Amino acid sequence: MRKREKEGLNRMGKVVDKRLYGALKHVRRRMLLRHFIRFIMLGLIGALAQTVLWLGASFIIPIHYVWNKSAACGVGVLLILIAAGVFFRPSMKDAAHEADRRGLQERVITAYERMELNDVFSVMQREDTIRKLKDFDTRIIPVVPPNRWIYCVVVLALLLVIGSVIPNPQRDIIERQIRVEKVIEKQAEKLQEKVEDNLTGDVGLTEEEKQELIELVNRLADTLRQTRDYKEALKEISRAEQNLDDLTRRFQQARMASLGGELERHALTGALGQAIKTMDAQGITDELDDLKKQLEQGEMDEGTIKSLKKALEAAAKTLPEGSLKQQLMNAASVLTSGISGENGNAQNTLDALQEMLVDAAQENMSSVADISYLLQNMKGSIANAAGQDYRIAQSGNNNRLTDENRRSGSSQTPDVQRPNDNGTDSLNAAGGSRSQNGSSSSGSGNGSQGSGDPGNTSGGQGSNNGSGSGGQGASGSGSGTGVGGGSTNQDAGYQEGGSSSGHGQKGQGDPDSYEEYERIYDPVRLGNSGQESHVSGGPTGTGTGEQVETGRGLGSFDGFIPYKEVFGSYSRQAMENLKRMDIPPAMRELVREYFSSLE
Amino acid sequence: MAITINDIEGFEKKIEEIESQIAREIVGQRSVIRQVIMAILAGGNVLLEGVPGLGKTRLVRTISRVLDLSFNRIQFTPDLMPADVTGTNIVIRDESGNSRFEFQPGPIFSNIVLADEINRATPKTQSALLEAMQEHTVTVSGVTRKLPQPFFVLATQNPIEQEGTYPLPEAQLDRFLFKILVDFPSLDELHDIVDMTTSGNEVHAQRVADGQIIMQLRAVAAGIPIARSVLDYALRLVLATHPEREESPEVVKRYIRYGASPRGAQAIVTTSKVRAIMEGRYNVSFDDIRYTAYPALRHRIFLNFEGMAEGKSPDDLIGDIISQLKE
Repeated sequence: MRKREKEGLNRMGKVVDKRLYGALKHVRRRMLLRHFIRFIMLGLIGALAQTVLWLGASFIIPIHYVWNKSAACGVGVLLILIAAGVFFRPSMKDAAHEADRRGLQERVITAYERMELNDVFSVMQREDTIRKLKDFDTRIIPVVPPNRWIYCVVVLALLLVIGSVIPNPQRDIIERQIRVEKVIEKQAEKLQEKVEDNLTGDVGLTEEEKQELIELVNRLADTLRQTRDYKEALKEISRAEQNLDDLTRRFQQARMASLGGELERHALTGALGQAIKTMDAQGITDELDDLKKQLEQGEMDEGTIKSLKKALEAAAKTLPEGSLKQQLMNAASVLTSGISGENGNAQNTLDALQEMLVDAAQENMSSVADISYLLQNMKGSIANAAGQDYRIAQSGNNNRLTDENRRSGSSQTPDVQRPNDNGTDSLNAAGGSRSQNGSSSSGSGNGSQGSGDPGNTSGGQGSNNGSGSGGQGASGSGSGTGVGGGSTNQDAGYQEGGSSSGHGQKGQGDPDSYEEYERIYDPVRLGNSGQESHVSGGPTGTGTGEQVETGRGLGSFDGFIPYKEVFGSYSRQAMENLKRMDIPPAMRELVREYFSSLE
Repeated sequence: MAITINDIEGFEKKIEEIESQIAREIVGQRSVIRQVIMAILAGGNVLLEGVPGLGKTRLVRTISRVLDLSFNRIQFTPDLMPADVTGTNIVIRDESGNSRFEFQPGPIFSNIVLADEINRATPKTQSALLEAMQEHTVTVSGVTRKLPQPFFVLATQNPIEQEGTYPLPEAQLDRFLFKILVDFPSLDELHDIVDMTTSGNEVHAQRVADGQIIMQLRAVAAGIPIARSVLDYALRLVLATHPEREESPEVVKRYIRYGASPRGAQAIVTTSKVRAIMEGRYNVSFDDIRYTAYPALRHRIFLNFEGMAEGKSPDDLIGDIISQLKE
């Protein structure tokens, strides 16, 4: 357009009177100034408005780096509006209209339209217009934006200041998320490194199995890196644990099948092979006991021993490098020693073999157990970073996992303790706990379980109370109420039951009662009616325990079993795990103390 | 007719002369005088509406004197026949005793025709003016005769005395370029009028133009340029008077029965050009359009029953339309 103006051409390329452009230039300059001031002002308003929106949203939802994001968006808005300002900048025609509006009474636009005409009217009109334009004072075109725009900027700026001064309730959440992210990243790296280390060398797994495990862990690590929410992270880890269990089972079953199949081919080890194939721990024990007995009593001749040795060697070959294979080879080699009178050595070797086979039949796999242990640690670290009690965090997580299991019909049991999965029981716990605290020699407590229909849309309510007396003069009473909404499906009802738990615990009972009780959740019992049990009271262990049969309560989650039923196996398992080298000695002591305090 | 710069530059001066001469005889009524001159220079007919005694007839007589144009006055009455206006063939006996028909021109054959109280004549007689007003010709007994140029009809009507009158049909109203409302003079003006007419020192206006000058001024005014946006505004204004149009203002839809015809748009544009040059401008402005819209449209829009019942005037509605119309 500028070029056209310089050449004195109009839009149609016809020669025009350039003097009109010249006379109109100062009007256009003034308009450009006003135009850009307004667009910059608009950009400022837009930038401030979006910053206020960001800030407002950051009070409702946690937004990371909200200032950075809003600043970036603000600059973007400003630039876009400036670009729009350049694109839509006023033309000469706009300047003509503006001058006309400011008192030239359509002289300029008329002249502009007739620039290429040279009839007497057009010439006179143009002369008149140029004359008037020269006298035109452009200061009557205001460049300052309207007052309401300025008010708008002031109000937005004030909002921004207020928003930045008021403490943001989401800040803690964000900080926690950042912490969790860092921990997740660190843990994911650590997990990958450790898994790779653990799977190096002969660990009793084939290369394919190792690869499968590494893939599982890598997948988990990738998923975790994309996860911000610690709950999601815990959920993913729990899912990975379950997958790991499945994998372990599959590996072990395959291994035992091949081992058993090989042993079955030999007459001497046929029964043992059968037991291994069916993963019958008792059968394995019996068959190996029988073999040991025969060796002890020297009932085997040299030929039989040789064929036994051959069978064991052949069986060992079906296994990947690892302790079990080694043990089989050892057993095969010591059979010769047994013949030469060193039965004691053979005996020990066969004992060790027996233990290993029984373990294998019970699907224990040490190399995989290490990974499982790492995952457990990871959960703890993440939950700690999130500022959550690991057990509580895991409890919520387990709720969801179990919920998913229910939907999928799975009855897999995560082999970790899952405290306090159901709020309905916690309600009772509040009542019961009071009795527990109050009694050193005897205690009683009762709680009525919250009621609520699964699948009912109405809300459920729970209430409980408890009382106790102690021989040492301690007595107390507690009560709590719980309210939870029902839902139209059983799963949701179960979840709501969980929420009622919180209310129950915060009743008038001892607020620390929650810490004193552990709810043991056994998903195997899903569908059975729930049972409530309480540990005998106090550190002296002299209080009486009681067991309360509960009906289908809030959410109707029945998968609870008496504490005593599981305590032994859990304790035993914990002690076994303690033997592992990578558990720090201080932690071992802590675990031992914990379990002994519960006995 | 070739227009020169001198013609254009002399326009304003000539108009000032005409106005000042008319003002010698007509006290006040500046706006009416200006609008009548605008209509004359735009080549249109004018309907003057006002109560008796406001100087309507005097104004027309003065204009004819100042412009040095022939002037005839027709007092319209119910028994006035068309032939009384247009003229008729009469039997003439020549010296040799032969008889023949000879056309005897009526009062219409004049540069300026004052149709006084036009609404008192029957529609038949009123319609005798139609051809003269529009075509500037008169057809009697199959013979069409041209009227002298310039020609225009200045009609008057009394808005209050409606008994025994025949309201002008829409078709005839549309042929008037302007309908000008003659208001009662102010006290000062009334003083001047009484002084001037009762003291015996009556001053008479002088001739300052003639038919040729009027035709030249008319040509000059017609050449005044109008910007597209201004023309567009005028046309949108006329269209906005139509209640059936979607985009018309609500007030139009509510109170107007019929909107203005295209002649209304022509009237606005042509008279706006005259006004522009009378104001010393060589282009038409939005203000010109707004100014001429009232006299050009007030007799072209017809109120419905609701509008009449609520006492709305066409000027009110034109004002509403203008206030809502964007430039």
